[in-house]
Amino acid sequence: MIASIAHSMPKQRVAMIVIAGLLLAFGTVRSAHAMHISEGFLPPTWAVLWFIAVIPFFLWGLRAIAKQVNRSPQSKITLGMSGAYSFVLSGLKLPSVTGSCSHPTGIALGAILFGPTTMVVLGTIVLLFQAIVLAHGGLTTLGANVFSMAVIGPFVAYGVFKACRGFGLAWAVFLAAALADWATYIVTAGQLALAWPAATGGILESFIKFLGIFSITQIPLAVAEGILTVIVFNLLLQHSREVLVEQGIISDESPEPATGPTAATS
Amino acid sequence: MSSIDPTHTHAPGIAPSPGLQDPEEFVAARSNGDQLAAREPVDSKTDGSPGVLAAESVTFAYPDGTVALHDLSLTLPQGRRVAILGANGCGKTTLFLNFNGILRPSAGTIVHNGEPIQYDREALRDLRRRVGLVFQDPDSQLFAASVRQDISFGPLNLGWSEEHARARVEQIIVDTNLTELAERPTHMLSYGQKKRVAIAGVLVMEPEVIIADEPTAGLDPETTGRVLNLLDSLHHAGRSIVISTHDVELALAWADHVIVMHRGHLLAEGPPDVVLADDPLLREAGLLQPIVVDAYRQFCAAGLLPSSEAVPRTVSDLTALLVRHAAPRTPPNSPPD
Amino acid sequence: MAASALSKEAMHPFPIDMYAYQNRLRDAHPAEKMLFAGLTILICLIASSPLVALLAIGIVTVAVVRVAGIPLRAFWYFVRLPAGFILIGVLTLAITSVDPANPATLLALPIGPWHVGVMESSLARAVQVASVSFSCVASMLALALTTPMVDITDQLRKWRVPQLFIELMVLMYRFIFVFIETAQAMYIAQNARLGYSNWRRSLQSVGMLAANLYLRSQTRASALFTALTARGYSGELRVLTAQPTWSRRNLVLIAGVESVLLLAAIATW
Ligand SMILES: Nc1ncnc2c1ncn2[C@@H]1O[C@H](COP(=O)(O)OP(=O)(O)OP(=O)(O)O)[C@@H](O)[C@H]1O
Ligand SMILES: [Mg+2]
Repeated sequence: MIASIAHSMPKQRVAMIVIAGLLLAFGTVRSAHAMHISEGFLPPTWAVLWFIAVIPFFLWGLRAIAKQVNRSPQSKITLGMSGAYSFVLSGLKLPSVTGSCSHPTGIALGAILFGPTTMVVLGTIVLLFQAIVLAHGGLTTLGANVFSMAVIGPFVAYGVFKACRGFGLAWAVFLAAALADWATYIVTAGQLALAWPAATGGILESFIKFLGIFSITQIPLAVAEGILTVIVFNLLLQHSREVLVEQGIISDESPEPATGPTAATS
Repeated sequence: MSSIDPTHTHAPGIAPSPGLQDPEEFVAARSNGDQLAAREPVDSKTDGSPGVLAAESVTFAYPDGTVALHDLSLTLPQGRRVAILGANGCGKTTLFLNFNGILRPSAGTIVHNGEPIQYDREALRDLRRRVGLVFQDPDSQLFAASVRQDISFGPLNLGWSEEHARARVEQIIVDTNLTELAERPTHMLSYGQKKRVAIAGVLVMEPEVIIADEPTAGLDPETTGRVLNLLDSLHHAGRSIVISTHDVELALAWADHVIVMHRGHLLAEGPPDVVLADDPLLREAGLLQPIVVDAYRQFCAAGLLPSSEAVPRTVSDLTALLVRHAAPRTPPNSPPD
Repeated sequence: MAASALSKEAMHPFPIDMYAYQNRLRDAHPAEKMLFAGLTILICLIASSPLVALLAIGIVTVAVVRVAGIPLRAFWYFVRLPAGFILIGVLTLAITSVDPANPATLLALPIGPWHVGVMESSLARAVQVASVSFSCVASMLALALTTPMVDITDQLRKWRVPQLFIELMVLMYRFIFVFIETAQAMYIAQNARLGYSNWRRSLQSVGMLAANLYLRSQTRASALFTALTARGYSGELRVLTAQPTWSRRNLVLIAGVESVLLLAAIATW
């Protein structure tokens, strides 16, 4: 219906409208929780499919947590606090080069500190709360968002962190954080492409389009988050090494120098 | 003499000796206190009753090696308002956690109603019902999103039926004047309101003793009054109330019995108007003499008051004393007004 | 733009959550509100015409503003929160590779050997997806703006969602507010000492904040564990749940409104 109205207009005018819309859209992206697929953005079949895809990971995570909680009642409380921390972390404002404001995902820090299986469950609750109290993401798109941000992201982060330990702690942390963000962003672009293939170029064309459009915000964001995560990790190493050792994140013997940006806390 | 030798210990299970204070001074203090303050007569002697809770030669060390309590022996008298005073880090909170069975002494025993406490699951559950502990920071105690739900946590842990728990929760909400807050989410409460909810969450379990860690710290005068009134109403219901505080004025005015701790040791215990009038002792404990006591001392030094009088506990006590002594032409045995 | 008028919304960390406790539908049965939001979302997603989505937005707006008593301005502010994602997303759908010879091509720009532009069908899809998305956002907000989180967790308990999951939700919800307060205090202190004067420093300061907050969260955890243990905690966080009542009137209204929407969906199929 709208399309037919548009068809009756001269093409230049349509072009103007589209360009104006584009500018408008970019102007709107001030607070970019850009990787949350919004409520209602996926057609019902895809919404359901991503829920199904996520269930095994979720149950795996929940079972792992349940085992831990059965061993010590304190760990339930600690998990709750860790989840709350993850939520607040993702609400911090990341200084950005372009002047617009963005937020860290906190995926890698969470995955390294709490473990990727735990992060599936905590991340799911974080995304649920973000959908309800912030209108970031959505309930219908929860499955898809959990898949990219609470499954793929944490596992990529954790895998990269383990695989890159040889390069030194700072690099392992940086790569874990940056690659987790990129993995999340690529998966999200893929999810959107699968749901909305282009008329002529199909899924591939759509994928390239989404990848391209989100790269504007996501590539610098991932780098910034990588640096941020290294800073956080170094501070934790300096001030509470024993906390990290206790949780098996680093081993006691390795006296690794905290390379990268360091700072003295007040 | 009002201070106690910190090395003073007594045999397990036996109440501390009564002769800690000069008997003359003690009697004088009481009779005047009763006359001056508008409060019911109280007897600060702790002999005769085993005390509701006692620590017997308790030593406690944290896993990191910090020894927070050193061979500490003290008794919390039954049915009293007890204030425990001491500088930051002297071990008040640690002692409370030992009383509630959350921490277990490295050496020595905690005695509850004359029996050493047991640390099996059932015994601890019973102990925690009887000994209610209110924490200093309400944000570390309230976990539920609604006031009503948070209050219902303790009762359900006691294994009460849902109807009984529900009825008790509603009752305590009324008793503690929380009715208009009951529907509010926890995070929208002010600090003082959270504190009252935290107290209600402990009261609902019907404990015999309420131990409140710094219940008035960070509260405005009005809320402090509310919290103290709440604690007083519990005391009138026959419960023992124990608070820790740094506020010597409050301890002097409110408590029936004060305990002063210093670096994990007991420094002194006894009636507030005796213990809190001992300036060297308070200095040693890192505390300051109450202003009322200070003023009283200066009036005595200036010859306005005879130093034989008992130490006043509040400004109105002091005023009454002055009124009684300030008119030289009044015959000595005529009534003050 | 509406920033000053919405200062009330901007001040609270989660203004949506704030309204959940202060609206006229707060005491309605949470399942009724979930039913309303759920059915509306479902019909909007399945319907093929953007008209249904627009109708749904109208219905939801009336429900939120007239029935629940939430100011229209605030509601629109919330509906527009995900606008950034939705508009970029649908623009990406609208702009596609085109065949300039095709009469359905509205716009074509040559880029190398290809043509990029807008087609009738891609524009129609963009409009469709945007309207459905906004209608779903509005419907979800109808739930979020009227239902306190406690009611949601209570309802999930009744639906036998795993206890552990709900208990973690309860703990997380409560302590998110505590940590935000802590984080805000830290931010103000850092800002006062010029911790955010340039990009490098800002990053350093955010890092310090995040590290400190992590350590605080872990000490909070042990303090809370201690306090809960004092109240008899031994592994389960049981609390009494509210006992809301169903309202026949609300159910009839929901049934009526959803039937209208469904009929519209069928009519525009
Ligand atoms: N979890 C802990 N691990 C190690 N040491 C601790 C711990 N908690 C307290 N301490 C130490 O034990 C001692 C007693 O602390 P406690 O908290 O009991 O003091 P407090 O009298 O309650 O102080 P405040 O008035 O500041 O609340 C202090 O030296 C403190 O540093
Ligand atoms: Mg303390």
